Amino acid sequence: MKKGIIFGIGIIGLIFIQSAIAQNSCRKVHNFCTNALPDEEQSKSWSFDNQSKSATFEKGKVYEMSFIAYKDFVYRIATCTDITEGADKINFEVFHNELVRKPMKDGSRLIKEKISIYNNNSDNMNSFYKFRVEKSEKIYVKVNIPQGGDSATKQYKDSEFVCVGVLLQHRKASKTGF
Amino acid sequence: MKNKFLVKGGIFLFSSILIISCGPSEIDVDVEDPVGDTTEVIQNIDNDLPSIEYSVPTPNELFEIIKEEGGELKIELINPLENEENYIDLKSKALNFGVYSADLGYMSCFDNSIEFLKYTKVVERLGDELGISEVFDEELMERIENNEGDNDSLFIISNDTYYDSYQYLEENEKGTELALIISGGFIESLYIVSNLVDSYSENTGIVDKIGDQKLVLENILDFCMTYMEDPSVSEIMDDLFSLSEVFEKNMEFVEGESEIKTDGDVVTLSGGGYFKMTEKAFNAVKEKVTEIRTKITQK
Repeated sequence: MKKGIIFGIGIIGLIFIQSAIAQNSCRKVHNFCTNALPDEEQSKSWSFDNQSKSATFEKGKVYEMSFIAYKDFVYRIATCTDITEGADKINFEVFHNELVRKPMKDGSRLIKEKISIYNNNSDNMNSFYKFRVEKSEKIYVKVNIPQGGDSATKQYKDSEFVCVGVLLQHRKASKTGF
Repeated sequence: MKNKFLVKGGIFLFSSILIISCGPSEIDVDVEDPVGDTTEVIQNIDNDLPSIEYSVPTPNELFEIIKEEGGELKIELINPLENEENYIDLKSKALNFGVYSADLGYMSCFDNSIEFLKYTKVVERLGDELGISEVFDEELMERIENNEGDNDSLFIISNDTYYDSYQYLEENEKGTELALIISGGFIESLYIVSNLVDSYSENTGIVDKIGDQKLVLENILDFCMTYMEDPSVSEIMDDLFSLSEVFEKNMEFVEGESEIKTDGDVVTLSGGGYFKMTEKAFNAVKEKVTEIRTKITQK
């Protein structure tokens, strides 16, 4: 009987801990990235892209993710963190791969180079970036997590960790351009 | 086979941590499998390089595009429900969770909701055994029942279910299961899409999209690399590497200079070297993916 009660308490405890973790995790933080978008961007219609990511990450570090951008689609990238104050301007950079043939000692070889195509440092720390690709490509997004500030997520309050989100949205590109 | 896996795995792992300095801007360099020569490349390794999180489009996103390109429903391509009883170990349960989830996406995308609930029940049962029963709560089942016959809603539901399962596994550090589910979903969707085309025809939307799956496969392999110590993950990676090799060996590399143009507030990336589908590549990929899919589903 006593064993049964202890086992029951243990199970309830486990369920409680699991649900507390789930509630406090960084799940779907990327959904809040639209908050930092200017009004004219918020009103536009975009489809949510399932490649969006949210993660727990250390302050002051660089978070990087990669996704596949399909040909003939326009993408909008927006980044955000759950830092409560002073983190509305987050630096992010976007890269793509270029395949180039480079001469080597005894012939040539295909080299994949990761080239920066956008850095919001040189765009007044804009909160989003819109692009389309004429052939499907692998894209990388690097987010510089701010050094200061505090996470709004209970679990990471007063810690060195915050939540970071990369929201990806897409829409079909029109054949005639924009 | 194991050696092949280790060598290929080594290339991928190595390629993901390579970096060289070139002029004023930092450029990461990743060595493709040789198209011409097999010259060894010497690089500097930067230990401060952040680890990368890899995302891949869901099967639903691929089917949506394929539908726009004129794809159709061939119900005989989906995995029969009866096969469920053969999936008794974690590896086959997780792989086929991905397979059946992709089937759900395919059916709902192409307006067939007849078997939707039955397939969801299979996915739910497999999900239960993988520890993701939370995703299949009463609310989800009610949503499905309330939207019976409404294919648009069922398509959204199947996408949400796949995405929520993905998120749940990621949060709960069930990376092995996640790697297997993603692999199963990818193989099933590529199998279906490849078999929608009877014979190769140049520059058709569906054939192009099959070629694009080479990039998706790269991200899946990079993702799986984190969990490669698990034998079930390393086994499926062997299959995925062999599929990757089929893409690389048979696709044609087209040289080109890349260009960045701005049109209004949208930047367009164009040009650049790329791998193009050929008849040989199409047939080889179709054959290979059918072989892997059979191995996964006919356990």
